[in-house]
Amino acid sequence: MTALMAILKRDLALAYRQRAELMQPMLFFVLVISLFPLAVGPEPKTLQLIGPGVIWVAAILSSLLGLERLFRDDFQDGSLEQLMLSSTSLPAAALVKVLAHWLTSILPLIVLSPLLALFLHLSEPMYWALLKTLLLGTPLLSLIGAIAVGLTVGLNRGGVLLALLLLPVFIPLLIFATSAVGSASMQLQYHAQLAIIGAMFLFSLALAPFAIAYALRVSQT
Amino acid sequence: MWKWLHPYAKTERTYHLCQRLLPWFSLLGLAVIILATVWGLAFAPTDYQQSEAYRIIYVHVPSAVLSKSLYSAMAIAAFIGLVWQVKTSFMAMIALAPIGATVTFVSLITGAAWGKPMWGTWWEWDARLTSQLILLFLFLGVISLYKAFEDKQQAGKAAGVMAIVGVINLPIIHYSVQWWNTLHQGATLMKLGKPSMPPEMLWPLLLSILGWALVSGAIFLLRMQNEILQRDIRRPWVVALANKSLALNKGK
Amino acid sequence: MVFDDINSFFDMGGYGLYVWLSFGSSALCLLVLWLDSFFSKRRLITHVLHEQIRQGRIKAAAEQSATAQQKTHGETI
Repeated sequence: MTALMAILKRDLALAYRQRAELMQPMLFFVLVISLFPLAVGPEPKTLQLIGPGVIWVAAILSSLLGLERLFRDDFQDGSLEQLMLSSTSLPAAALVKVLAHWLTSILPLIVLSPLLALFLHLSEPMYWALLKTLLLGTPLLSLIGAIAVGLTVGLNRGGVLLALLLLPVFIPLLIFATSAVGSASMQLQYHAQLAIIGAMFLFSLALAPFAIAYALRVSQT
Repeated sequence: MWKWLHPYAKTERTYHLCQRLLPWFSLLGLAVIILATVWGLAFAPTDYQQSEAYRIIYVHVPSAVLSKSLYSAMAIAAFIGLVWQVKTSFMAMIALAPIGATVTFVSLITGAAWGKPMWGTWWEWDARLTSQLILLFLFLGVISLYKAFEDKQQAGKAAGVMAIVGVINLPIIHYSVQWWNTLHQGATLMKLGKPSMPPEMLWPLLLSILGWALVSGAIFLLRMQNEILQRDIRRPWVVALANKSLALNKGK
Repeated sequence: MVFDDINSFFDMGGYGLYVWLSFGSSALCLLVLWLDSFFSKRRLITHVLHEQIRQGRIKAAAEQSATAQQKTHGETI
């Protein structure tokens, strides 16, 4: 247990020291979302219509940008190899690293979400739905994203390949999340969508750590 | 029970098996596909709703059916390779991928060409076309990941993991896209449901599916051989094989 | 034959463009895929043969220089 806590603390401390780098996905998130009113016009009805979709797509893209950090620095200085050779369970260590990553790269996006909901004229029920989908759905981005990052950690042209691999896989999440917010906008229930996202989250929570560990072993032979 | 499969973990045995099967798959496949196409184009009755445009079904449905079967086959090959560490299984997986991508692409083009007369637009975000588009992305992702690695062993395993992540996602994607489509589109479904198809239209369709499957099989056998040759290019059996084919050609 | 003449066959009830576009692109894609696979195989086998010839040349050159060295060595002795 203490080994895992140590890994968590280390990752959080390292992330804190690289605050500038962490700002980048956040800035990207805000920038991309800001492009849409500029592109489609400031009419509140239009923005409200496309709002949930825009925020979710931007969240997915920003998370892709931040995912590369997950194993890159550890790979470059050799601590990834050390981690894999140590007696700590690799799936557990992977899960802890994913947690640290979610806390430092994705949680800030969620913290920013009220501002962006304001930019896009989302109504209050819509915002609450958005928040719930973000909280329940973004861990999925980290968990499944980490599998692909684990596979591509040694490659130098990882970036776009990561997007190519992960975007199709994130499509169901996108569909259900935006549908939930859309239902909220029409004052309808959205428990079903949240339930499905929750199910996907639990499924990946259970299996992804093992897939991530396997991916790391494959790429680090 | 599976002992008879064990020799095929060796590349040389598999190469020769592919060689023996190749003439059957290619000739039979070509014959069946030509027969089915001619039957479907010229002899199947005219549809009273869609007139002659429905004949596109004879290329659209086989390519769509094959796109899904090839992805499943690729995922099964990936699974076998990952679980039992069989190299030839990874080769089979990567040999299947471009074929799957091509038939998926064909299903999209033929779907669009069918959509224009039927819906009035080249592209429609209906459940089927959208799922096929995502399937194409999955195929291309597996291929790109494989090509990104220098070491082909690593490449096979990495692409295998992604193929399996994709196959787990396939039913989720299909379901979510269908659900999304009913939310947004309503009833823009094609009117030709399979059970209500008369036998004169159904038989050429089944035959085309078979023909496409055989032709894909033939192309798979070729590509499998290419993978094996690339991997084993310096081995004596390959050199002997090349010399033998040279002698055969000279004899001609 | 459902069609009365060859022209109505090509016309396909007015939908000729779409039907022939579909069948044409399908045939083209399958053909290109098959050609790529077939010619790759041929290229690989040719490569093996060329490589063999090249190895033979390298070996012959090595043997030549070995015998040449022996001769000069013998002369100096």
